[in-house]
Amino acid sequence: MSKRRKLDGRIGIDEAFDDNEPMAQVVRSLLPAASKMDSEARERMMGHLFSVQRGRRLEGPKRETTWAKRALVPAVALVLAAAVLSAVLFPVFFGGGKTRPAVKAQNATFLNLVGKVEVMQPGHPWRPATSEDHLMARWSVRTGAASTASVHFPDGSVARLADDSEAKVTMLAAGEISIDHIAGGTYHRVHKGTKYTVTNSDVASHALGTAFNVENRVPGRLEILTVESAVEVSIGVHEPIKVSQGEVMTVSLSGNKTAEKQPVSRERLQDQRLMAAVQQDAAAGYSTGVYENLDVPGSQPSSQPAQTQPEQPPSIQLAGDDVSGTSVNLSWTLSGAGSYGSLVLLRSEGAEPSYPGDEIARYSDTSMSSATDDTITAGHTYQYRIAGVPAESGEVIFSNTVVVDVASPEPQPVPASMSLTAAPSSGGVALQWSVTGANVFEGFVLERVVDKAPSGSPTPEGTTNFKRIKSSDVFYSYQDGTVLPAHSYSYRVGLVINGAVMVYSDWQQAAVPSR
Amino acid sequence: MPGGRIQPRKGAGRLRLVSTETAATGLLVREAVKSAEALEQLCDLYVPKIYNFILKRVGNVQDAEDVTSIVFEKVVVNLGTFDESKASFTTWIYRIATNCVTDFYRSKGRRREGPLEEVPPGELASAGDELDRADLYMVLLDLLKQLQPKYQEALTLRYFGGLRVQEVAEALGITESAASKRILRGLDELKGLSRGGPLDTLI
Repeated sequence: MSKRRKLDGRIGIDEAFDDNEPMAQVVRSLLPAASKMDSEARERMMGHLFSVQRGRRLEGPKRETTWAKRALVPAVALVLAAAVLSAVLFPVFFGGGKTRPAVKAQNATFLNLVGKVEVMQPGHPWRPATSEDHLMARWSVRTGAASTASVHFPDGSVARLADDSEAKVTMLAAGEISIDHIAGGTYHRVHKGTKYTVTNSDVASHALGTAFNVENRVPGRLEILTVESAVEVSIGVHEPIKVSQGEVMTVSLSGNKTAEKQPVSRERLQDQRLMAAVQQDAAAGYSTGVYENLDVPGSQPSSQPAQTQPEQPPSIQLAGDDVSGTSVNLSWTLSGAGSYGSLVLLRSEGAEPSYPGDEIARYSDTSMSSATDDTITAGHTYQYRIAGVPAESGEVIFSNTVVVDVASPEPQPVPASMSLTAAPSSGGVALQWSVTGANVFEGFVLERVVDKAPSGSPTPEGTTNFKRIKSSDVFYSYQDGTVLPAHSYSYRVGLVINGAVMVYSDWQQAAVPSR
Repeated sequence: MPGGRIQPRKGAGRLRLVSTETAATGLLVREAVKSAEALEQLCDLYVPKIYNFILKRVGNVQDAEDVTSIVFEKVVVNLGTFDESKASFTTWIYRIATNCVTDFYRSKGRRREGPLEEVPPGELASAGDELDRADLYMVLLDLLKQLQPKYQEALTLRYFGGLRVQEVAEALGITESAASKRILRGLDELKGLSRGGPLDTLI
């Protein structure tokens, strides 16, 4: 039973107190060896955890201070008491005394339905949308050609669908709205204080009190354009990237995701669809963010592009791509009226690269238009910019920022192999094996051949037996209790994939002693 | 305790000794609330332990992966409320894991299936009624499930999780003395249930 000993001046339980308990010994002897979690499953889990962590960070702390709690409890109690008293005294105000649900389900409504607009509620087919519809979580909306719709949420946020677009409301709760952007273009005017997320693939745009547009009309390409304030864009498990007012981020959804962020062009701002959404915002009395700083009037957007273009300011356009996790190729073009003494390549992780602190290369030959960065580490995310530095004095001109997510190198496929050990034990022969290079298989075939047997043995030399073992997930071991004394055996184990043995271990011998 | 530091325990008249390793974990936990890198490091430390603890309890990889994921989601959601003055992170996370496994069995209402499939004639097992180790382990799991939850928890934390008695006590919110008694009582109950069954020959 438990032995006690003095430990650092306090009574502690001897850690070995249960060593002599037979049942404890049985439990310990039966425990399987430690296993490693499947790497894919772990990666999936980590991706989910990072997303939860990001969500928690965006939510911020929820704990009230003690004094606030103390003040809150009586205050709430007072309000509740007053409400109950009012309900008793003035039932008319509470629906004639009828019970009402404490929490009203959140739903949204349609405004400005133009053309062919359809909705789909869970478990039902698509049907035409009407202004009487009350959208709830898990409802989808789509628009046809030359059709538009605005979804008005109870908090005051609005999602505007352009033509040929589709979105699904995945969460609709007080203070939190999530939307799956599925196709086309969706413009979002977010009420301040609401946690608003628009997701496409594993690219999530989080906003708090802002206006932005999400579009994926080009296959494999997603664009997030911030009209007002800022949006945080998260790609997979990577740190969010801030897309500020007047910036546009383009994410390549094919292969290794790459993102490029740059100031939005005047031409893009004059896009008919975008301006139509901004026009509706302006008509509703909202500020129009980036449009207010331009000579493109957001409140009265022109349907025609400007007839005369002013002289283009100097600019540098940078593009970059990861080359199989070993280097990043960058190329750039200079345009406008710029003249530079040198071009400086800037690189950083986690924040937009700045000049001169993040300089990694300088080119005095300004006709250079490309570079390869092979000083990268796989699995990291880098941001690049080019700074055009004037020869004497003047303003440094920056290119757009290119974000390159350098892929981790693909693990080299390892051919499946098996190793086996066989050792005589008190219960027969103990067999243990391991598998390398294969994750998906059905089980094992254990093969035993009698190498040596005394004369008259019921299992003479050469006798072969098989046992099929279904993959148990926990054990790669077997106790062969059917061996006979004074016999020698050879064992091998085969890995069964798709019903066939794909690979065998080497043969292992075990000699069972005479009794 | 060499290399340790002393930290007062809230609401108690005694001191709780905190090793440098525990203190480093505490720092990592605080960082993991906001830093993805710290969260990854924390998971590097604890995913193997918790995954194996759960795998030993549920007995198959798919369920173990699912439950592990649930455990760590709860950890991330509640990291901000973790108070290292009340319990170590290890006991805190094992407490969560224990609850999640209980929830898992409660929600599924499932029984384990034997992992081995005996097959055609002329094979090794033809002579034996003897169960192999994997089968015996499944028998053990079934017996464990027949115990009162308090004994199940104490035994699995001790033997599947490999926790020290003090950690078992912290995870269960009881004294060390009560934890050791619960473990011994659990072993006795398990022994009683094993009587006449396949495990009896091993005792």
